[in-house]
Amino acid sequence: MAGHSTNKTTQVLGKAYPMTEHFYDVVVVGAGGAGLRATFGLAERGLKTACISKVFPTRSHTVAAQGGISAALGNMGADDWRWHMYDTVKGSDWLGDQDAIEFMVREAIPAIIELEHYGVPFSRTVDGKIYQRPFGGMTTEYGKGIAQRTCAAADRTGHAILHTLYQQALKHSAEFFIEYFVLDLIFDQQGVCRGVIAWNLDDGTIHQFRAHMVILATGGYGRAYFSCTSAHTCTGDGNAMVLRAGLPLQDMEFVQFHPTGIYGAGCLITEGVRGEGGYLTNSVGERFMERYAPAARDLASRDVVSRSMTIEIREGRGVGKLKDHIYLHLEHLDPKIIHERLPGIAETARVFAGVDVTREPIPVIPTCHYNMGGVPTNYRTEVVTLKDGNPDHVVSGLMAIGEAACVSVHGANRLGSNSLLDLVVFGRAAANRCAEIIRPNTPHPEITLQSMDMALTRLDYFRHAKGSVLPASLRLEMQRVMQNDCGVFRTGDILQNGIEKLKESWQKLQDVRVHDRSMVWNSDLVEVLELDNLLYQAIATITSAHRRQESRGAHAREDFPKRMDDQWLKHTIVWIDDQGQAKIDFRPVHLQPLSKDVQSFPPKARVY
Amino acid sequence: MKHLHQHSTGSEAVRHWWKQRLTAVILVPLGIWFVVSLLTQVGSDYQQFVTWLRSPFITALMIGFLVSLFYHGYLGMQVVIEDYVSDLARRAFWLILLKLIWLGTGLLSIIAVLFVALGG
Amino acid sequence: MAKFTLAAHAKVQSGKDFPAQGAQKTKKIKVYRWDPETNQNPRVDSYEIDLDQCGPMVLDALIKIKNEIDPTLTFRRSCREGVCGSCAMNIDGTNTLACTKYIQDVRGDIRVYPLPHMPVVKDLVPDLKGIYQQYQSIEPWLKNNQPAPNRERLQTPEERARLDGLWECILCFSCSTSCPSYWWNGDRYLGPAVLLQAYRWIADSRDTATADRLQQLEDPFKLYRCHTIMNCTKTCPKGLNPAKAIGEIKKLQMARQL
Repeated sequence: MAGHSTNKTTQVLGKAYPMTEHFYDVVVVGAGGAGLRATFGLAERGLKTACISKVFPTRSHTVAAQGGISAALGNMGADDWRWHMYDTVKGSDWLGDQDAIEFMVREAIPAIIELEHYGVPFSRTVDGKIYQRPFGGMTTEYGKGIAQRTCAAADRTGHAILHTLYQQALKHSAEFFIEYFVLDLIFDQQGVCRGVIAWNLDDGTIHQFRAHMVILATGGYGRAYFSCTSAHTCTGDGNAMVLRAGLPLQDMEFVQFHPTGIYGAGCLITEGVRGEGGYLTNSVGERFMERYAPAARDLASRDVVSRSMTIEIREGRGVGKLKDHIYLHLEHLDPKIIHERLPGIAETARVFAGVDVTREPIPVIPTCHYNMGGVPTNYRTEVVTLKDGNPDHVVSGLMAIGEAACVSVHGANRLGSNSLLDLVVFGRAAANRCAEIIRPNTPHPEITLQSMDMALTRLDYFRHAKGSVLPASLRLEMQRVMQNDCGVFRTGDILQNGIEKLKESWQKLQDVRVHDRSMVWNSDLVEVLELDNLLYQAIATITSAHRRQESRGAHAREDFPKRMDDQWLKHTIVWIDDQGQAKIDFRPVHLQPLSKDVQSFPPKARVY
Repeated sequence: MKHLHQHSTGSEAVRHWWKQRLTAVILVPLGIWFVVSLLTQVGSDYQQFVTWLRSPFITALMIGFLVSLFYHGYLGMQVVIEDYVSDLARRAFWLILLKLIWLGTGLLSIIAVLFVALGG
Repeated sequence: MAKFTLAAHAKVQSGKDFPAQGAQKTKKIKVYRWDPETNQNPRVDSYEIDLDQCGPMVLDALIKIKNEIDPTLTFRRSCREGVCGSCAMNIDGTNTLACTKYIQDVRGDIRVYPLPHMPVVKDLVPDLKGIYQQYQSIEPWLKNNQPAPNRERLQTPEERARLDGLWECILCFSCSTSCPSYWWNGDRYLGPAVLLQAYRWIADSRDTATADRLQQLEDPFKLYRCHTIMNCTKTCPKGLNPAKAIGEIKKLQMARQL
C-alpha cells in the first residue's frame, strides 16, 4: 500500500531545498529487528506504513547478535516463564518494570514459535525441536539450577532473525525508504508527534513524512565509547531526536560492558561460548569467576563478570605483555561442537585476534556493548514522560522499541539473549497497539511545522560549517572521555571531570569544519550529524551517572558501592537543552506485575 | 525428496542444458576415437583412407561424431551469442545466421562422409 | 554487440596525491573517486598511510583517510567485523569485505574500486537497487501449505544441516559482481548470490513450494547463464560456495524432467 506524496521547495537561509511530502498512517524509523517486526506487523494489519532506514535492513546491527534469543520453551529441560521473569528482574537489579517484564517473558514463547514459522534456521535438538543453550543469569526454579533457555541458530542468531524478518517484510510488500537519514521528528503546537523529516542520501533530496504514529527503532549509541562491540552506525539518532524535541531519556547511566570483546579490535565474542562450556582465566591460570560468583561462575550476569575481570586486571593478574586483558578458553571443547555451534566466533577470533580457538585462548576485555537506557515507554511501547506530576504521561504520536527504548525490561543490566527477545516482542506489540488506535487512511490535519525549519536549519548549518575542528578528532575526544571517565567503575570526581570535558566538546562542535558540501551521499555531513547526536547522549549518560549515588547493575560507583533501594529504586530521566545543559528528574519503578498469575519480586541481595 | 514434478513443463532451458552435457559426454570417447583413428591413418593414401571409412561401423561412428560435434558446437555458440549480444533484434539475426551456418556445414560434412561411404 | 571501450566521460583519470609526512612504514592506497554532483570524470586519488598509526584492515585505512586526510571520501561501512556486508568493494582486483581484508596481505599499492559493473552512486558506493529487486523476485520467505502447528515445525539436525553454507550469506554481492556472466546479463541473470538464496529455500525441509520455486527458475537467463566460471566461490568473503548451490538447482531441474 503506497502512501501518496507531493513535491514542493522549502527555503532555508535563502537556499532552496526541494522537498517531497509523503503521507502514511505509520512511519517506522530504523530497520533492525524491532523496526522490521513492527513494519510488517503494521503492513499485515492494513496500515499504510513506511520504514525509513539509513542502512539497508540486513546491514542493521541486529545482524551481529550471536548467542541467541531467550524463551521458556522447555525444549532442553523443565522451564517456566515465571523463572525467566525472576531472572530478568534480578538481572535488572530490580530496576526493571515488572509489568513490562512479565509481558515480555510471556510473549516470548509464542514469539519464538512465530519466528520459527517464519523460517528462522534455528539449530535443532535430536528430536527436531529448537536447540536452547545456557546463558548468563538464566536459571531454573528462581536461581537454583542453570536453565537452557536461549534459542540459537549456531552463533549467528541475530543474522538468522534479521534476515528472516526482512524476508517477512518483503512477503508483506512493506514499503522501505532505504539510505534515508532521518534528521528530526516533527511536532505540532500541542506536542503531538506528526512525522519525521529525512534526507535521501541517494539523490540528496529532502523528504517530509507525515504520520499518525512515528515508531523509533533506531538502536543504541555504543559509538559514544572508544571501544565498543557496536557497529559504526550505532549512533542512537532516535534518542537524540527525542532530546531535541524536548523530551527526556531514561536510565542513561546504565551502559552494559560485555565481558568478552576481542582485545584491541572490540569485536564481540558471544556469551554462548561460556554457555557451551568456555571459561575465563587470569595470568596465573586461575578460573577466577569461582571467587566472585561461586554458583554461576562464568555464567554470572554480564555486569558481574565485567567487574570481576576489571578487578583482576587492576590487581595485576591480567594477561598479555601489558597485563591488561583476560583469556577466554574453549580449546577444551570438542572441535565438532565448535564447528556446529560456534563457527562464527571461530572465524572472528581467527581474523581479528589471529587465534585458532581449538588450540589457544582468545584475548578478551570488557567492551561497551548495550544501552539499557533510552526513550521511556510503557509496555505498549508508547513514549511516556513526566508531565504535571504524572510520571506515565503518554506522548501522542510517538512510540519507541528495541535498544532505543527503555520500557524498561532490562533495568540496570540486561541479561544476554533478552535483547533479541525485546526486539521481536515489542516490535510486534507496537504494531498491535497501532492497529488498536489508528484507523487506516485517517486524513492528516493541516499543521504549522516549525520543527521542520529547525531540522533543515541544523542540516544547512553543519553542511556549510567552516570552523577549525575536524569532526573525527572531536569524536575521538568524546569517545575517550566516555571510555575513561564513565566506564565499568565510576567515581564522582572523575565523572565531574568528564562532564566538564564534554562541555568543552559541545562548544567545539559549534566550531566544526565539514569539507564535503554536496548533498548526494555526503557521508562527511552524515558523520557530523551523528556526532552531534552522540554528544547529546554522552552528556545525558555521564550526567545521569554522576547523579545516581549508588551502585546498581551496570552502574558501579566506587564512592557509593552499595545498592540503596530506599533512595534510588527509581528511574533517572534526563532532558538536554539546546545549550547542552542537562536537567534530571525521576520516575518510579513499576514493581507490580501485569497479571495475577505471578507475584511481585521484591528487591533482595543480588548474588550469583 | 520433496515433490518436484507437479509443474514441470520440460522447458527448452533445461533441455538445452542437459543436451549440452549429453553431447559433451558422448564426445569424450568419440573424440578420442577420432584423434586416434586419424593418427593411425597417417601415411596411408586416399584409397586406403576411403576403404577404412567405408566400413559400416566406421561410417556410423564418424557420422555420430560429426552430429555430436556440430550439435555441441551449435549449442555452445548459441550460449555465446545470447551472452554477448544483448540487442534482441541483433541477437535473433545472429542466432538464425548461426543456425544456417552450423546446419549447412554439419549437413555438408555428413553428406561428404555418406558420399564416400556409399559412392563409387 | 558488447562494448569494450569506456565512454569519454567515464574514462578514469589520475587524481590527487596525498603523501604521508614523516612516516617510517607507509602504504599507498589508490582509491577510485567519482562525485555525481560535479561534471568531472572519475579519478584515482593516491593516499599514503602511516602503517604504524593504522589498524590492520583495509577498512581501517579507508577510515583513517576519511578521518585525517580527506573527509570527502565516501564508502559504506557498518559492523566492521564481516557480518553486515556493507563494505564490499574491489580491493587489489578481488571483490571482498574491506573490514576483513588485511592491508599486509596486499603486495605493493592497494587499489580500491567499487564493486565491478554496478552503477556508481559516489566514490566506492555502488547502486544495488537492481540486485535487491532480484533478491525479492525469488520470494525469499518460507512457504508451507500446511496449517502452522502450535509449536515449532520439527526439523532433524540432518535436515537443518542442509541449510549450512546457504543461510549464512550476508548479501554483500561480492560474488554476483565478480561473475562475468552477471556483468553481461545482470538485468536477466539472477547471479550467484540470489541463486544461493533461492536454493536456501529449496533445501529447507519446512518449505513446500519447491516445485514452484524450480518452475520460477526454469529460464535460460535467470538460471542458465551460470557457466561454472567459479569466480563467485573463489571471491566469497564468507567462504560459501554459490556455484555448488547453482549446480544443485540444475540437478533438481534435470530430476524434474525424468
